[in-house]
Amino acid sequence: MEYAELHCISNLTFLRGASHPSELVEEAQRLGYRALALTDECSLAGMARAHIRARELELTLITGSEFHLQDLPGTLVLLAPSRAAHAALSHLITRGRRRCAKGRYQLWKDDLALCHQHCIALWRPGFSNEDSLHGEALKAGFGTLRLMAERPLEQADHHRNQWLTQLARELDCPVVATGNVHMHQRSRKPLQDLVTAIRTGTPLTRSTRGLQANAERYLRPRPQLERLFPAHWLEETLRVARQCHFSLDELRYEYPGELVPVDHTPTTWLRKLVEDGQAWRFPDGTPEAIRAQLEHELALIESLGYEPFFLTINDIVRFARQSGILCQGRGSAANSVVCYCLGITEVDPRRINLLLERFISKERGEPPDIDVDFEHERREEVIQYIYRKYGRDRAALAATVICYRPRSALRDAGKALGLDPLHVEQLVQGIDWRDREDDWQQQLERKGLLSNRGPARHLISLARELLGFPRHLSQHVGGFVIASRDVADLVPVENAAMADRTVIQWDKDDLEALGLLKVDVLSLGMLTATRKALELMGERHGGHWTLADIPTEDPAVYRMLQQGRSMGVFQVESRAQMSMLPRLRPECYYDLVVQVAIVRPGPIQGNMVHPYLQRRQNPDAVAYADDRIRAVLESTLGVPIFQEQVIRLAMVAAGFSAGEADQLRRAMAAWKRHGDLSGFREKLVNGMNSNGYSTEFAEQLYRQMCGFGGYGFPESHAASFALLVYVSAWLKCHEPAAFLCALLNSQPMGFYSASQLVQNARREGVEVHPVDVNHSGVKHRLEYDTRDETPAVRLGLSLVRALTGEAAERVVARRPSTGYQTTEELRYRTDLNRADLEALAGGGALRSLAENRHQARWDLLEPTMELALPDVSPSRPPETASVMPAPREADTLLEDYASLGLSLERHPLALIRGRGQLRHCVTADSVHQAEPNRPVAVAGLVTGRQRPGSAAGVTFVTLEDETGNLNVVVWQATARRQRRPLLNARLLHVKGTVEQQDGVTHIIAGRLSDLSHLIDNLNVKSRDFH
Amino acid sequence: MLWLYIHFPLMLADHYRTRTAGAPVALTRGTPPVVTQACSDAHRAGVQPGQSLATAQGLCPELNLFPFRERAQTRVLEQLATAMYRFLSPLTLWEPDGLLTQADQLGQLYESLEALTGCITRELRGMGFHCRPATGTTPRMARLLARHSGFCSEDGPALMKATRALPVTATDWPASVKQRLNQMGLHTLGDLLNCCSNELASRLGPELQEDLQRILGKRAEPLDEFHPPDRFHQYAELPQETRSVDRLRFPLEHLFRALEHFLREHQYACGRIRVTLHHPDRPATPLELRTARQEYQAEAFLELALLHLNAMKLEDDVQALSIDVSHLVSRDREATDLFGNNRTRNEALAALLHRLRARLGADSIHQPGSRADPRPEKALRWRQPGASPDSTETGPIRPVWLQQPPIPLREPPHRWLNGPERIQGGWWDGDYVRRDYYIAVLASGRCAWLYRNHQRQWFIHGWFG
Repeated sequence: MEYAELHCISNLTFLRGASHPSELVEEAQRLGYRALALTDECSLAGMARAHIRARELELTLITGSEFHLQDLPGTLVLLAPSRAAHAALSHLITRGRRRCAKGRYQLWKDDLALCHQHCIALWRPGFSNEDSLHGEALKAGFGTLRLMAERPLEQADHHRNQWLTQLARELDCPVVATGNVHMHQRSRKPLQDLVTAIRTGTPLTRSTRGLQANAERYLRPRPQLERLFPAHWLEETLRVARQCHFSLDELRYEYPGELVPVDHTPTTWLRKLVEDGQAWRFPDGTPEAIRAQLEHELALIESLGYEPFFLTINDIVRFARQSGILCQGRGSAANSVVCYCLGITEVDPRRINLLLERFISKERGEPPDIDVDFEHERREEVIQYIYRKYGRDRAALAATVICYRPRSALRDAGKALGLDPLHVEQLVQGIDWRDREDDWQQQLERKGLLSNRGPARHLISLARELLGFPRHLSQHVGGFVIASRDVADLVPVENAAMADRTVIQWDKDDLEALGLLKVDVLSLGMLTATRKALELMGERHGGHWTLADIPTEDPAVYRMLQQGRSMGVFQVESRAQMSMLPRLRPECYYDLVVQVAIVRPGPIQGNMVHPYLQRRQNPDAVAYADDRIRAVLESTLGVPIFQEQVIRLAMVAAGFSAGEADQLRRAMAAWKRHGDLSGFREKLVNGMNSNGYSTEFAEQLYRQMCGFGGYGFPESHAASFALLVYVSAWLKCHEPAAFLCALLNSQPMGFYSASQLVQNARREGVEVHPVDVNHSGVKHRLEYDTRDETPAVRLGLSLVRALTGEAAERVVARRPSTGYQTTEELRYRTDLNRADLEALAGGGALRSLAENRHQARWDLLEPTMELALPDVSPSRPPETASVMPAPREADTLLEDYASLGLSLERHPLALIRGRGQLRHCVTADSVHQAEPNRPVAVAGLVTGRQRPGSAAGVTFVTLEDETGNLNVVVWQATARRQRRPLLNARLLHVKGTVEQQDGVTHIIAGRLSDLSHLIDNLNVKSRDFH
Repeated sequence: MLWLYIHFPLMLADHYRTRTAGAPVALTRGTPPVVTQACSDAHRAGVQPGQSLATAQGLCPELNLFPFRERAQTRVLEQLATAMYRFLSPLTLWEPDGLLTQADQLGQLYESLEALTGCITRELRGMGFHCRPATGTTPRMARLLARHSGFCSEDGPALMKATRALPVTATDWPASVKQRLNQMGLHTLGDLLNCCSNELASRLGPELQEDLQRILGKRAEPLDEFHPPDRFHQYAELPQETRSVDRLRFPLEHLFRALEHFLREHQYACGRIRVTLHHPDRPATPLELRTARQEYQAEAFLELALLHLNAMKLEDDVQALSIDVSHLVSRDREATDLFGNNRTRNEALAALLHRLRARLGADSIHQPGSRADPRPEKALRWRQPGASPDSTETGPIRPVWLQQPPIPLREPPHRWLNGPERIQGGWWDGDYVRRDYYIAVLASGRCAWLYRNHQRQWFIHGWFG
């Protein structure tokens, strides 16, 4: 007897369903079901995932959804037999969801009118006397109605099915067998119980309400169904399934039409825009090779019908340009000549040869990928533009499905099993979740805290099962879906947690799998800083500066980077990148592309870094197995560094088909969630062996694939990032004051604090002036010394933490041209409240008005007198008898850090050193000149402790003193013996040996001691284990 | 006047320490939890307030963690006060972690101040508590010195000097005030006292000024004297030795009247009374009375006591009676009618429960309830009598009489009425069941609840009426 399951929820009905959509599809196929309807509650969120798997397994999947209405007892399931029904269902879900806060819905019977014409209705009544009344109403609306019979093996089964038979006779409608499936196999029952306990908030040990009494809501084998249901009820399932012929493959994305003028087609319009762009980009005429590539690209775009996608992005970028918002495209299609001509990217095709075809592959059928980064402070303007232009019906953000990760899975599972929350907290703290070698389960077991009796013994296995289960929908960082008509025709739209934001029920993988395009509107702090620096350059040199005006390939810029002087520079400022610079010694733009991509988990785990560095020393010795390999790897000296290279190697060397390569790419992208690439391993190794490559090379490549997973860094992105690396490095090299000023005005961004940036810039010769009510603007700005042209940075009032923005503006706006003369004058002119005045005193901004901060604050705290019309002489001395003690240097420093987060006074370490408390300690700058392997002692403020997942057991500590930063490496054994100073010290003293490699200096720690008592009260926070 | 203040720097940690057989202890607070207090051993290992649990356990792997609770803190302080009451009186509780007493009154009992503080410290150490005593010419001075570093002296000027040297951070003032003072270079109390007091008050508010005056003794410190909770004890000699319960009735009633009077006076009630029967030449017989609810009326106690006495056999002459009540609770005002009568239906029920308990024993009375567990044998829960009933959702039909343990079914049923109902669950506590239940009529005509287990064996699990 054949069967189609028509009522089945997945784990995208959050905390009710206990199986992934793909598991349900696989099981239905294995059991030989004719079809499976996925009917998550008021949701189509699982449809795309189920569809992908069903397409692969050739199982008929029916789109549907389950509802509990406000004014209808029982459960209603609506199925979509056609494209129109899908749209109607999607609109109904949207209506129910948009009425309520995130995660909820409300619908009434009247709302069903949307679906009356199109959907198939199945109803499980509430088994009360009103059933026939409601049934009549449903039947009148939908034309036909089917009653859902279930056999959960409950006591009331027979009674209810008799009732249904009776009701069916009364309503003259058929009964259909359904499973009300919550899990694909019975064995999921413990997990089903667990999510019920999580949902209801009562632990299993305290008798959770709503638990299912048995494990019968699973996909049952057909013979069993035959025993449980009369044949005609089972047959009815097939009748319904036969009516459903809609597949998600039918969804077509129609791009907004308004971007194309009436007398053009998308193709001719794109060509027109590109032609215009050519004249702008290549004023001396387009080189022949570029021209040819352009034609090739346009033909490719036309053959795939992607013109509207390029036009949509062009429209958004054009808006940004007109509003003076800096932006930069990246991604597979972004570095094409077409995008260069449209101004989507600044990466000049003459400087880097990235074939569009490498990224948009006709045979692989992947959609093009263009992410556009905008200034982080102004991205909202772009988002609002999109909403304004297309309307909220037509533009919505893609969702991100937030899933259980090990920590949250353990916490929730622990709570549901009734474990003491503090105990669970003890278990999860201190686990290194990233460490793949030593996975968290082993770490947890090693702690020895977990009981192997009672509910606790199920914790790990259940948390493992829960891992990757969806928890809720959140909004994607910036992926927009823009449609020609209503987005809800395609997919339901629901409210996000953020006000005025709506998200669709599919995430970016779902969209990609269905071939629907999204436009990524992302934000990047460095773009904000760059625009600000360019504006400051315009102030200084005149003219309007753009990215294109920055001179290219300046040797001075590369010289600076080769020395590892990269603090503040985009992407290459992290500690790991900084130490790689002197080893890689970038000399040209493409070296920067490599540099950006090489310090990533992929190349590091694949052990590709060292071979690459070696080959750079001796490029001539590089040999290639054959020309095909050479074509893939020549640009990186035979070492695969980019994600694209790995995929192409799989095709060229291991014989992957285009389709398999696409699966590999998807699996790599999804690896973080599912963590399984093992299916590809064998194929890769065998394929490469049979093509004459060593197993070792193949294994290396496989490890690299694992490393790319989740952190994938393709060449197409690296190329765009490298451009910003170069531009920001150029600014640091040639306009250091403007660069510092722009960075400070764009905080928070980047890797370093304002304090570290200022210290670094001062060491490199930038003059920085303190905050002062008589000189500072609201923001940081440049001050020009009349004698010479080198500007200095004047810190702005915005740096004073406790000062309100409004007060800062008032101080600047009401400042007389001669400046404020006394605190009294400041008070009556600005009429600031006490908190703001104190903040100014605390930030040392009254330095030109009062003797010192202590006195300034005492003066300011004086209760306001009957003051003073503005014309009363402001030079009256304050009526104070008490004289405050003058601040000590340490007081000033302390207050600087407390109220500004940085100080221009002597560094705390200089202060302590001056007191003779750090004898025998050398400074950071002299360590760099020290001989290798010599014992040294150093001391510094701990500004960072890192335990990277890629370096097992090693802790990297960054120390800061008055001359710079020190890198300390603490091996695991050393760390174990000296946990206390390592974990607690804010001022750390280290005895160790100097190690130098390729110009990078480390100190290998021997003995650690905590000197924090010397800086007690100094408000310096360590950035622990970020 | 000289005041003595005893500060307990690790009060709660010390308290929990007594429970962990000496293993190191830290208290945690907040989400995510951080350490707020660490015992001395944990402290020696590097555990400090403000650390995350990961850091703390990294430093001290055998650390025991307890959540910080303010209620517990108050209770521990009360216990300490009760314990110290023998030595120190008058005594004042100073939340959250200190005790105050007058040293000059006590000084007469001890040779010297050192002898006194030494005795206190030893006593407390014996109880497992760290303490830090300090003296002061005002209560607040003693408290500040004790909380900061401890300083004991009878010399007024020396105490004043120590007080002036105290950092402002040692005070209880709001953090914002302390910060503001530090930011004006006023780091010690001495710095503050050097300032013109009016200027100080006008800038930092009158509260600070008042506090300074309390420290200096220019303003009175309101103090509440601590009294340990009351007990009730009364002893009554019988006019004549007796073995007859009837003869005990009157003296008992007399004692209970006195108890009722005491309870009324103090608005107390109690639930546990110890009655002791004293014999001429044998050890006394204790009798523990427990009421179903907190009581104060003599009739209730008497009735209960007589029931107990009637149930036991008096084998020795009783010479005297005494009653002791050590656990007293404050009584909520109950409505009484015009005649002082407040017996309601609930009270009648309570009275019935008293009597049943006295007859059958306290552990014999339970109230049935249900819990949402699919397993029938776990769905019943016995609760304290008097609890509110469970919600009565209409579930599947269940027999009133559950056959526990189930008995094997020996005969094929006469007629099947319902089934199967599958019940499967309980993996979480190790009592996993998977059974198919049926309702059937047996040959005897009885209606039984049957199940078949996973091994296809049949059992009777209950009987329907």
